[in-house]
Amino acid sequence: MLTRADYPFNADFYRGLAARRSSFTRVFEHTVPRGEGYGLRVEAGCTLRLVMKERPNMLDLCVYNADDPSEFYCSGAQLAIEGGRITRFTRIWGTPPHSRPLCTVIADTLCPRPTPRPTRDHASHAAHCSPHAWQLYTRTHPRTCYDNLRQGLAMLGLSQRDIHDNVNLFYKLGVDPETGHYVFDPSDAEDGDYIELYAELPLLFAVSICPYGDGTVEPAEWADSDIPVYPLGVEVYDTGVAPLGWP
Amino acid sequence: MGTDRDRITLHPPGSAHAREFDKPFYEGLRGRLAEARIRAAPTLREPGAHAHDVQAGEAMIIRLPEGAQIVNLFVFNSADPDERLWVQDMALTEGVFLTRYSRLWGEMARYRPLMTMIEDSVTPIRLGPSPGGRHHFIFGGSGTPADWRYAGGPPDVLTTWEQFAAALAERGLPASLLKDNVCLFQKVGIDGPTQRFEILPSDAVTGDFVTLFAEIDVTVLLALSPYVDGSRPAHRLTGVSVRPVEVSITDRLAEPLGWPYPGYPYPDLSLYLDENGVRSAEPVPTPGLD
Repeated sequence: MLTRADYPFNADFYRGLAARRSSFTRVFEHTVPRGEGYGLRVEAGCTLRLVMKERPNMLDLCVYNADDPSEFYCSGAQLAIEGGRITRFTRIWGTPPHSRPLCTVIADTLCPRPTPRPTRDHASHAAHCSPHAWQLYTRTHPRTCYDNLRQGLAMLGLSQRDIHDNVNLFYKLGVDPETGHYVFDPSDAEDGDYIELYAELPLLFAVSICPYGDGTVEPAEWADSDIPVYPLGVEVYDTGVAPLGWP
Repeated sequence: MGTDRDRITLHPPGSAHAREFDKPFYEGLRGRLAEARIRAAPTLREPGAHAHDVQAGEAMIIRLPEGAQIVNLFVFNSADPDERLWVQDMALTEGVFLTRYSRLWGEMARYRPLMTMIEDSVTPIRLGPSPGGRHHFIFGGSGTPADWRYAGGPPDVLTTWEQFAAALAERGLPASLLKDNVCLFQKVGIDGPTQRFEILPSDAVTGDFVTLFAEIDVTVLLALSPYVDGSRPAHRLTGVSVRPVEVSITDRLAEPLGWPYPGYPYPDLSLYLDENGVRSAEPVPTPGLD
């Protein structure tokens, strides 16, 4: 096995930050209607908290440097550095030349349920659904994640051409080591569960509430199912703590 | 050669997002390879800006003449570089390893195969599926200057990202076009519980090759990984040279089938493309959705 690069991580800083969450000041709160997309700016040193409302729903999240959106989330680097899972203290890495953490997960309230398959909520590499997938399985065109991300980016003055790789939150999946194919399970999330990301620099986020719901319905059954989707709570907190900077 | 719907199957087997595939067409292409004339046959001996234009219907053969060498590949529509490899979505359809009949899919809005792998001497012929790992991993993108530095790699080595960026710059294109690349001849094992993807020494040997059929006119960027065959960490690669890679491009094997196949459900592209037929850069939501 090839030894990977060893990136420094100040665990004490993030443990301290996570321990102070009750002292954070909420500076923004919004509920994204079910099945839609949303875009917002989050300043360095603030956190973005994504909260499940009513029931779990998969989210696709794109991340950009607010001052230079040509720096964005890089899933290839993410897989190499952090692996396919995202949970507390996972860093979300950006593209070269900076190749730096864009944000760091400081809270993840999910309690994973055991499964015989290599699946777990929050993944770094499963793309976003598009009208092509929905046409294939249902011959319909709902608001797909591509369209929702486009909607969110439009709120930020960006276009569909800025849609890049994304992370998949509240999406329980894994890659089968034998076949190399993805396997899926319904999300373990419950009402009120959240994941919280600490912005290492000023960031733009575009988020989509996936029309695939909580992952209970297999793609082959999409056409015959009324897949329920749920709203999303978006909250921004000022931590009062400046990022460490990179490198 | 048109598509006969009776010949179409869903591919690849076992994929949750399998898509229509005319396997007999591609089997026919393989039969034509032996007689194909070679249009160009450069040998890549050093890391650098290696870009190759491959016309629709031609095939690119990437061969290892002196042993295993990881070859990173990024591809885009020559006429519209915004239509480029979309590894994240491709992984859902094809899985995370390429082999014969894997397709390299492009971005929205057209979302169509850019190239199809019609030969792979490593996986199906000699090794088959292996619990220890497989070859041609599709999630490249970590071959950055930062990663090389943090891995303790020697200075003055061109990383994959720098090679790709240089090739794009030669064509007046920005490095921000780059997304994940595929890693030919790289062997990767997956740890199920942690979902860590570990690079293993490549099992490719002298003479191994892959052949990619161009479904549209494409530009293919190739980068020779400074990790060579993946057997040594970066800090042990001082003075180690990459191994050469032969690149051959055939003449036209056949008219590609085109995408979508007749009768295949396809979205209304006018919601995404502008009057020039490229993805609209207007910062607006998709029109007409509820």
